[in-house]
Amino acid sequence: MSRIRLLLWVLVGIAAVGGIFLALNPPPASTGQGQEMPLDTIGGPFTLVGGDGQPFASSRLAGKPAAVFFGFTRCPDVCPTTLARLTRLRSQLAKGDEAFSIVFISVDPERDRPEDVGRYTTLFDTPVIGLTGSPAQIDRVKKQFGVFSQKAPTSGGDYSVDHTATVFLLDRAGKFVATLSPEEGNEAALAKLRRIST
Amino acid sequence: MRRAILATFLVLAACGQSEAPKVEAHDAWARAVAAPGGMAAAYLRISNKGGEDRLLSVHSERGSGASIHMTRMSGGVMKMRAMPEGLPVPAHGEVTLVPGGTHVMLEGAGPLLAGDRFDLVLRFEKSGEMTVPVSVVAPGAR
Repeated sequence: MSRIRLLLWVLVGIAAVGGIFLALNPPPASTGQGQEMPLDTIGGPFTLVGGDGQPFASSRLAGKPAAVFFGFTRCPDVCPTTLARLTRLRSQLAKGDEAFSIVFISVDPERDRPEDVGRYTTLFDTPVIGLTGSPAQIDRVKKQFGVFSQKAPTSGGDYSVDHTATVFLLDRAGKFVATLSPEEGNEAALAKLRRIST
Repeated sequence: MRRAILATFLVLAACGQSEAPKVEAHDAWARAVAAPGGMAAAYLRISNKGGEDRLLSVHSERGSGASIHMTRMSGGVMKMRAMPEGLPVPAHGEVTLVPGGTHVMLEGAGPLLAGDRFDLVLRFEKSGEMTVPVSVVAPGAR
């Protein structure tokens, strides 16, 4: 009996040391495969192309928080699912469309023309901003946000795009403040959105 | 005694192999898609009250091709891959095709409007073909 008690205390000791170690050495934030960057360098000003074919500068997002998601219009599952989730979360906040902007940035600039992202985002009965750009513009904004993407060939000679599925939350000034992950529960997500939209 | 145990085991093994699957498909739905020729995904639940089976392929009356795909998240990165070997349906169990997981990818299926209905034909290894109606829901509905 006393041996079991001793063993339990040893386990408690190991857990405590582990906890202290983790507290002193927090794992670095990761926003995608092989891309780790300090949180305060994520984001920054960008200029892309809107669904109307006109340049879209990130300064147009200022004054309102934003949820930024990278994807591609030929993505049938995760991209519409994530955008649908963001529209639902925004309506659950009950502060109207002004609570935060929902921004979709294509990581497939070769196939996604401005009219494609424009049409993709009109699907939702609430405003969603769709952006694409030249491959160079998209590369730059991906680097700014630490977003990974890579073509994955499909059997028909076509391709899908593997990409970071994290949602980036920006405050009113356009500064990166937090992420939402697909695995995260709605309550946690709502708490973060409430914080940036008040 | 040993012979009796062996016999029992063989009978049980034979039962396990030959039990016919009782597969049913439920609640098939797809999210609306705006673009003509756009990609879509269909989701459903497959229940099985019998022996194991396998969903081998899917045919859709909408679009140019339907295939079973799986979305995996690894290190925050979304990866979508075809499942050419099909989708196992366990004995006395169920599989669910849900957003962010296994789904039926429908190429060129757009536009799909909320309220539309179309048929999917599921082809199982043992249960054969089964037609299931798919309801198209508003994009933010679920």
